[in-house]
Amino acid sequence: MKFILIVLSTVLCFESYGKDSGRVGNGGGVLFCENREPILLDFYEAEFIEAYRYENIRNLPALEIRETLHRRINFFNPEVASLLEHLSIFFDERVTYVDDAKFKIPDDFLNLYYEDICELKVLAVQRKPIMSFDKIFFINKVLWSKVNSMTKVGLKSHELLYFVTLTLGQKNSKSVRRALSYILSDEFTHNKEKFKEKFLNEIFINSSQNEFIKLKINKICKKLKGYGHACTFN
Amino acid sequence: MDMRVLLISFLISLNTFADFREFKFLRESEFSIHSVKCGDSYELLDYKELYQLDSNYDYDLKGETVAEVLSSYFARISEFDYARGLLYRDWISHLEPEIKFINGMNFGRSRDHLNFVEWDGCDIQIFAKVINPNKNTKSVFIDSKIWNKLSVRDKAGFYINYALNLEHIFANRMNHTEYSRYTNALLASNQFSKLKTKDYIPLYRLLRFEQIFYKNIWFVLGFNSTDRTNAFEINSEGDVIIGTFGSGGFFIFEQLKLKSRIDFLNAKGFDLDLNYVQGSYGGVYGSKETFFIRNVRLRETSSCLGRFNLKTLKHFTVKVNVKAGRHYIESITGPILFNGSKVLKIENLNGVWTAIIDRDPRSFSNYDREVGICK
Repeated sequence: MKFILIVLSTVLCFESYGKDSGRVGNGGGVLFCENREPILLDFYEAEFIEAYRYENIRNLPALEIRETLHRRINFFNPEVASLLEHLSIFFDERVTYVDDAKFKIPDDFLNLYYEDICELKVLAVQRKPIMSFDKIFFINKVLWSKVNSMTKVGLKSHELLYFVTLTLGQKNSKSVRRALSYILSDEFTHNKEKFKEKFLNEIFINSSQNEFIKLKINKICKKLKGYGHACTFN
Repeated sequence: MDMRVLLISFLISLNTFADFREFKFLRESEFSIHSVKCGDSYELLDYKELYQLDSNYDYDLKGETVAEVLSSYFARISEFDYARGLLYRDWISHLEPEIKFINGMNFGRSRDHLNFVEWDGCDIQIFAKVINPNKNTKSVFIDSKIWNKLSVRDKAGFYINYALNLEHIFANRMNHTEYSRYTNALLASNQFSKLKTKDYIPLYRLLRFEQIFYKNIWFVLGFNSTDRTNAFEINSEGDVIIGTFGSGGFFIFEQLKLKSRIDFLNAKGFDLDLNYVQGSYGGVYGSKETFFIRNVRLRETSSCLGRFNLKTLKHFTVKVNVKAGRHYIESITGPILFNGSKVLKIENLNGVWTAIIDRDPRSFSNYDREVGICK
């Protein structure tokens, strides 16, 4: 009887987590830890699990971090770098900064683990539009003002890459978190080939060959055009 | 009482077309209508979640009273969806006897698809619950504590939410109101005037609306727009490019008695019965300019095509040309005899409808019917 009650309670707890909209992609999470700078979940996981480091970008201004990211991607695939530039403009057109609100914790984050001095908060959410001109990206304005440039650039890049992977059929942001952690890490400098492969495979779903990536870029371009945004890839 | 009087009274009572308690909605279900409580004020969730999150949208319906606002709503819906404008207006006009107001009600936790946002200092609450309409009970329960604090626009929005979900949840068997809430807010917004009918079709597919009565014709809306046999497309001028004929027989529309009608410029008054025909407008069976309607019958009102009286024909095929949104009959084919001879086709030659005789003696069939002459 006790076992049945436990099972029932567990099931009911999942039920009570609430039914989220099917249009909402799982969001950009940030960890707010005692006595530390808030940090993007992608970087936190990489530091915690892989022991990657981010000292080279931690204190850079936002513009330089963006340029670092662009330079690294452009080095091994200029078309992907150019796609992300397109997406960055698209992001700025379709973002809303939301005041006076919190975003719900998505299912994607239920199985995460982190130190108990930290609290995971959702800073950004991406939602599939119904009308082509609907806003797509939503940022918690209050939390945004509390994070540093590394997390801001990381978060925006996360959302752009997540747009790509959602278009290509992914259901959550795990691959994006891994990809971003590779490309912006200090370790990238000494492992370019290996990290390039890992990055492309995570984002383009096991494709690192240029011809397959081109096909997938075309698919993303088509989606952008469907949303009323010019996309000039052929 | 005289039986004739009773019968006539009964027949007259059937004249209002939408006592929705007569509908056997296909599944037992229910839906909730939500408000957002911030401090002591309440707002309809449908509006708050769209207008507060997306600066593209702002409420812009006019009206000082609920009736005035609803009137504006119906006018808007009718602009791009005449049948639903009629239907929803009628459903809502019959709603009041269904409602039970309760002063303070706990409707429990919502099982709907709710927004990803939790506004600071606010709670989302159910203020109305709707169950399947049933002759013996009320079907709408409203917490009057919340209802009395809603604005005119939110009360009007409640009625539209109700009508949309009567179709979306009960008739179309969906299990959340995310898309119907969005539709409610979209229709009441400043974006309405910028959208054309074709812009609503993807939304209709999300709502699982099965048919649309557009330009006097019932069309089927395919849920999968890559399925060409059920696709429905309109160009930017509002002309149908592809569409499969529907019958208007989906049960919620039956009582509207709206029949498809195509007016042919070269066959005035020629009245096809488009229920249960085969064929589609453009697309699979033809092109943008020419399509076929198969298995056609005529309505009794008119059966003359030029001098030919086709009322004896049970099933035939019409080849239609479309130019600048106007329809012309190119030819009629089918099991047709004229003066005992098998007819290959009846077509319009220099403005005169002419029977082209089929000389092949093997082409006769048991289904052939002799056509008469219209005087």
